[in-house]
Amino acid sequence: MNSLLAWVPFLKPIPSIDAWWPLLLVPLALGISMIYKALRLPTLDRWMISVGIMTVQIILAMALLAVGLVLVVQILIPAITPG
Amino acid sequence: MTTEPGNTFNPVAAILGWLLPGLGHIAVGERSRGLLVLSGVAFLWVTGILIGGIDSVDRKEDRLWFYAQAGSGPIAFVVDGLNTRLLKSGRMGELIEAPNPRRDAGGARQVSTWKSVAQMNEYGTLFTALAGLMNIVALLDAAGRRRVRVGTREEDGP
Repeated sequence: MNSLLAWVPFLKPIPSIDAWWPLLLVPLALGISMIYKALRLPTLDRWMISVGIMTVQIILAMALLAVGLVLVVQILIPAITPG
Repeated sequence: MTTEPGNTFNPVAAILGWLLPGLGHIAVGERSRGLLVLSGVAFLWVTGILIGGIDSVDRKEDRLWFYAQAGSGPIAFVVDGLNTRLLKSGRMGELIEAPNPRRDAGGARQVSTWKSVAQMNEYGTLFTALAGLMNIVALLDAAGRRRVRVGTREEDGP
């Protein structure tokens, strides 16, 4: 709490980000989707919906990638490593 | 009149798109698209600097990242200048001694107590660098668009 009171937005880095840093993937995916869909869509009527869909797709893909890496590192590699 | 991707290259649109993200699209007649590109780049910059502070942009310490950040245009140079003038000079926060990461430089160096480190710095750098890279894609897209009259599909201008 004290560190939050001493925070000067935009000049000092945000405090107490420790445990929830993976959640920052959400605004990152959102920002990329906003620009990408603004460029790729032929008409911009469905821009907001397309941005939402792409954001969810990126997050799900990253989550699946993380699960895959956990399986490889925690299960596959110990299983094939001798000893 | 509308635009469509073509084989032409409009350098003026590319330069305008670098000076202000989205301005290249506005210049070729795609006002809404340009404003959406601007909102996306601005969103990534504001969020990145909010997370990592202005130390996320550092032309000397994170040179390769700065090349990507500079894709967003003058904003990258402005934030780097603010970092140098406010934090590195000690005008904001305090300067403390820290080990020099460059072994050949030797000795200690002065760093600001407001310097961002670890995940905050990484995320702030990543957000702003991605904004720059996406803006390079956007300005190339703007430069490659050609004006087309609806119905006739006739090119407007050279």
